[in-house]
Amino acid sequence: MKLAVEIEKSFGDFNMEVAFETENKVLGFLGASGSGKSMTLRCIAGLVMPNQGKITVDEKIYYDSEQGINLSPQERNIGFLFQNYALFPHLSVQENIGLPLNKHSSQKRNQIVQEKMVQMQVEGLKDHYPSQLSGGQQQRVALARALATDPDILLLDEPFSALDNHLREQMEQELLEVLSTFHGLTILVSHNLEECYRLSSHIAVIEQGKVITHEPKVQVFSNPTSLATAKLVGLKNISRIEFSSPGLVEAVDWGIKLTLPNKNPMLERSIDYKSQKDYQNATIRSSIAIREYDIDFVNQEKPINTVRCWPASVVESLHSYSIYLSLNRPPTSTNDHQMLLVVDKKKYSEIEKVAPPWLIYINPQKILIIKQ
Amino acid sequence: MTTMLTDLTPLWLSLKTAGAATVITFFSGIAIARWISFYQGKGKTFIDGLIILPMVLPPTVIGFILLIIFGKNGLIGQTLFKLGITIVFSWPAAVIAATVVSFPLMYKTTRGAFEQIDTRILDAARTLGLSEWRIFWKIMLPLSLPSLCAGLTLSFARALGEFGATLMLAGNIPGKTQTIPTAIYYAVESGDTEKAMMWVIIIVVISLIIVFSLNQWANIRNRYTYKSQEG
Repeated sequence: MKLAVEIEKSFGDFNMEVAFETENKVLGFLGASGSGKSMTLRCIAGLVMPNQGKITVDEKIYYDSEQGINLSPQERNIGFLFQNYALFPHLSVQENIGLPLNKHSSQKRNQIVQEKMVQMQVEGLKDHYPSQLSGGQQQRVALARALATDPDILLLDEPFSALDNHLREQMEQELLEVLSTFHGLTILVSHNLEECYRLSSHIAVIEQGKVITHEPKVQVFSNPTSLATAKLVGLKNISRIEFSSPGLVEAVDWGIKLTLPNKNPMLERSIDYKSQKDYQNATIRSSIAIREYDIDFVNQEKPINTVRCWPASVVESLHSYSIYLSLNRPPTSTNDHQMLLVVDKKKYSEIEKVAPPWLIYINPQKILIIKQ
Repeated sequence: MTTMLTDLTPLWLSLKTAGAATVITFFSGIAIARWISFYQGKGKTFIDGLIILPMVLPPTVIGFILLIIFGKNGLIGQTLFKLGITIVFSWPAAVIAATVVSFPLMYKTTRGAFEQIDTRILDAARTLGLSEWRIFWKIMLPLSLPSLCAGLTLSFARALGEFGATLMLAGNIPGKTQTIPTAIYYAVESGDTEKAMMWVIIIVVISLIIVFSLNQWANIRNRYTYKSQEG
């Protein structure tokens, strides 16, 4: 199955131009709130009409402004899971699932309802009303209701945002299982990186109404192709770079000079320098980034990329410490830091014993290069 | 009490008139409220204002406008007259007056209820393939039921108390168009305070019953939230 979307929609001052195609089972939509992710879902479902463009599923045209086609939500075969699940409050669980199935005979309808209730483990709650259910149970019912109509495409709008943390993990696991048996396409909207990563195979990054990246998830996270993507995938340490001398760049925002990797298969796509000139060109208007847990503390200087640093502030989390570092000089205040490091508690207890300045080593192989 | 009310026709006429008006108001109010709730075109506020107008205008103004419409030389009155039907100073006139003044209450309450329904519930129903008509019957109406009942009660109360427009369009013909409010007015006018008092007591009792039943609807309105407390 293939979904192709190419739409324009403006509302207020916001202009959206979303274009993507997907044949992948689960596509994650990652974007800050207000980036247009949910609006895109609503356009696909037919709940909102775009200003122009085209939406097709295989050969079936859902929307085409040129041909004047705009199928109603009822005519599109789409399951939509709302953030608040949108169960019918006046109907019991089985009535909620059964109400849309009026095209079937009552016998067939009961059979589908029963089947879906068993699949989503809500059979014991069949006579309960939505207000009597927990968040997780409501989500199961909403999923059962959507799946009962046998949709081609399942749209999930921030499915876990209304759940408590402990329920989140469990529901995520359940959803993963449901999606693995689902025959159609799924689009998952989320601003939670971890969630998006675990559930999707591909990720589309949406920034200000445009799809700026659409790739297998591993690539999006390991090799972000733009600054916006880098920030969205949670990179905290990002610095602009300037060409310094052969083999060396200056990380402007960090105030240090670093050696970049010579050959890193992961980075080849974004930077491929065979000559010194290529290298110089590649570094123009580029940035580099390093993950906060990819930086090592070392006892002695290495030939390259070792930096002296002082802690500006330290924040304790449940399982780790976040250390904000001032590079090359002692910090003037707790806000005077250029880099963030995250270490586990055991590691921190070792570091703590050493008096600053500490030494950190930035492994060239761990440096990500982001082309502008 | 020295004088008992021997003639109860104003009571029956009042109930009959208010009842007929409420039935018309109930169905047309729901229909118009649904139409306006889904209406996306221009002039929505204007149309809404026009419908609400009878609620804020003095009843005499409404009576006057109705006379223009239904009088012998009026737009509709003329046509009806040719067919041998005279509206003015007849029982239907009392019903028309009561309908016009009670309609905005039904419309307003119903529209409020419709628009309070989480649009995501309606959108979910659409993506699930429920037709708009089925959504209206199976989701919007049941979810608005407490408000519909409240609107019904309010409309009935308003229709029952209608005086000004009724007097102008239907007059005060005992046994034909004289309702309790007009009966009170003319009893006081002719110095029959005891008779007026009797009617006042009757209408207060009826109104109290209405207010109590309104409170009952308000309790039912909370049904869905009560359930969550039990569970």
